[in-house]
Amino acid sequence: MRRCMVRCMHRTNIYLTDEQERALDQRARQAGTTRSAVVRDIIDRDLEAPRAIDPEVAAGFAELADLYDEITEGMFDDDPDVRIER
Amino acid sequence: MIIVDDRMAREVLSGRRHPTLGDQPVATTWGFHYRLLRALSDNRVDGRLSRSVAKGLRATAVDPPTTVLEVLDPRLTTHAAARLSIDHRLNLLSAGLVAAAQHHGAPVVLSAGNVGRTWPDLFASLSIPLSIV
Repeated sequence: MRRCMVRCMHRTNIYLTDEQERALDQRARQAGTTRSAVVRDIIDRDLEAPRAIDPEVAAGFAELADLYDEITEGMFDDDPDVRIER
Repeated sequence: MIIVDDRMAREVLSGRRHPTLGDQPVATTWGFHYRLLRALSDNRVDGRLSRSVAKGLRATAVDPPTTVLEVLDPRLTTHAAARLSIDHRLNLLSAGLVAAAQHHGAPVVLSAGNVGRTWPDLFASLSIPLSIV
């Protein structure tokens, strides 16, 4: 780990608010780890692999195929901002 | 990037991309996003699909994964859209679409039922590639 700290990581300085610092330290204490580890974990989770669409939700969108046209038929006729002039 | 309408956006979110889109990133404008959310908020969606699925559709459509469908920030093109609206007598939907296509240098793919009468000529005059599927 010590070797990796030197070779695999880059030291950086960031400014935190008092509130952010307190929250990070609290989470680090609860997790029994360091403030840096908590920051790395938060970054990893935010940058993790792109979210995919839940298969059930995707199936729902597919099921909407015909219904969508039915629902939107005339839906925007009274809305000049988003009406399509045909 | 390819910009699509609400119908094509729904198709993309279903995981069934039209071949015209290839493997390019897909985006939609605020106006078409609004139309999609308005349709999904219709009671008939809850009636036809299960309530939980309808709720899931709305949640996904509100904040879709950007790798699947990006909702373009209208603030980048508000001024350009305003100018286009004046110059070409466009409403909010079409001005936003044209401004976004110009700003991002993106072609537009629309479903056949979502093409305004004057749009093909307008897009051609502005050299914006338009595909109708």
